[in-house]
Amino acid sequence: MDTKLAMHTKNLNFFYGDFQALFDVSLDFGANEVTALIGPSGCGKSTLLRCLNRMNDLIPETRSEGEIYFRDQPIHGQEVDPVEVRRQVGMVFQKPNPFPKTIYENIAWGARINGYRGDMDELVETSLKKCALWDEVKEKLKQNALGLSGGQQQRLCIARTIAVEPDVILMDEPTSALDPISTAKIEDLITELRKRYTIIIVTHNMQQAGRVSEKTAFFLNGVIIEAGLTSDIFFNPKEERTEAYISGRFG
Amino acid sequence: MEKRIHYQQQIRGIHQEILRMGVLVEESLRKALTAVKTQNRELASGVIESDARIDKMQLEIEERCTVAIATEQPVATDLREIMVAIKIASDLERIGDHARHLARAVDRVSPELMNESFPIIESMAELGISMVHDSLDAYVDLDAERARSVASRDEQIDALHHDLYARIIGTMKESPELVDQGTSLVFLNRFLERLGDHVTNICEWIVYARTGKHPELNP
Repeated sequence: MDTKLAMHTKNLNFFYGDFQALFDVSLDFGANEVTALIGPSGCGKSTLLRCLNRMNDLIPETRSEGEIYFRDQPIHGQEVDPVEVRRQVGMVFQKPNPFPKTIYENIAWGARINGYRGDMDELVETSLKKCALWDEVKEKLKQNALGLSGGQQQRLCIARTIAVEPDVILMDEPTSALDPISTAKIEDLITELRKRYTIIIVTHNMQQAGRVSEKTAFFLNGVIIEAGLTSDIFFNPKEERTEAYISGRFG
Repeated sequence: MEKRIHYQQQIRGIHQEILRMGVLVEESLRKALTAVKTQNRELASGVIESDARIDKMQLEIEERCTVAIATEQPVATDLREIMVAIKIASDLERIGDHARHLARAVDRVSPELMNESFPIIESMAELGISMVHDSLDAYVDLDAERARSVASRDEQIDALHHDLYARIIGTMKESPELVDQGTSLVFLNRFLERLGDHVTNICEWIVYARTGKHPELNP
């Protein structure tokens, strides 16, 4: 194995009631790598993302089979606290969803309930700086976060996620609601964040997958069709279905 | 259901334009060889004029490829095919230049001197023309196997190049007054040898478009 694994799944099956959404998914996520999950709507990529921090536990009548490991620990173990899993494996959603609180509190709140005892001002500043948002908001930390632009809100949500020091950040189409400039800022941010975190991103934007990720996995009807280096997937895919999808011929 | 129909038409259009350019280049070579064989100055100047058209086609193909890359963000086979079209257009343009060089020999080399060397020049040019023709056939459906086989014929041109070179040098040693014309022949010999190299490049690009891997067909 070339890189250390941050997470991996082994023969993962996932069901919404009788409907099986994932079939035998075995996938490695290398530490400090960006992995893009691509595929048409309903192919299971967001389901997989939500499996990775046990967000699906919150949906009634769902069940999973197989294993998911964070480092080398199964995340479904008896002794594992799902809240702790979600701290280590943070998530950023499609639409920016800051708390209806001040910019400062958006960062501080999660850290506080996680028992952070350090200098809160410093944590807020560092988190915002890591997300290239500090200069834009340092004069208005006490203002309501909902007053920020969509792109700023999304960067705030990423700052909020990293404030609790996760190892992995899951991003579910983080730029689909943003304009091209804000999108470029988030992509730059992803490139910067990969130095410290492992990032797994669901995207419908093929160019984005090509730009930001080192690895790509292509899903169809809950099955991994092809996974590997992004450069291989986009330049010389092995599977015809991958090629048809990434070149926009179906999906 | 087929999607991105306009995009697919664009890629097919570029492909067809390469074939059209290739046919024009092949025609030019054929006319240039006939012009030398029959000492036909009019035909030779026609070849020189049509080279401008070939050059223009290369620019048009490059432009179409650039627009397709900028507006359609091609990936995988499509991207390789577009890159390869740019490369092949460039090699065809150079082959077109060599047709022009061949046509110019009508003015630069006396019929007497040409007659001595013509059998080898004709063999080289015929080999080159058939390689151009067959490489275009291989390009039609990006037939990597066929491309490899076409490229292997370059060795025959190289061997003829060596023979002709020795012969021209011998002539110039014997008749120093022929050095001017002999030098033109040395250049022509070199250009015909390069023609084979350009066809080999085209064959390599065809293999690359098909497989995504760079072969070395002209080691």
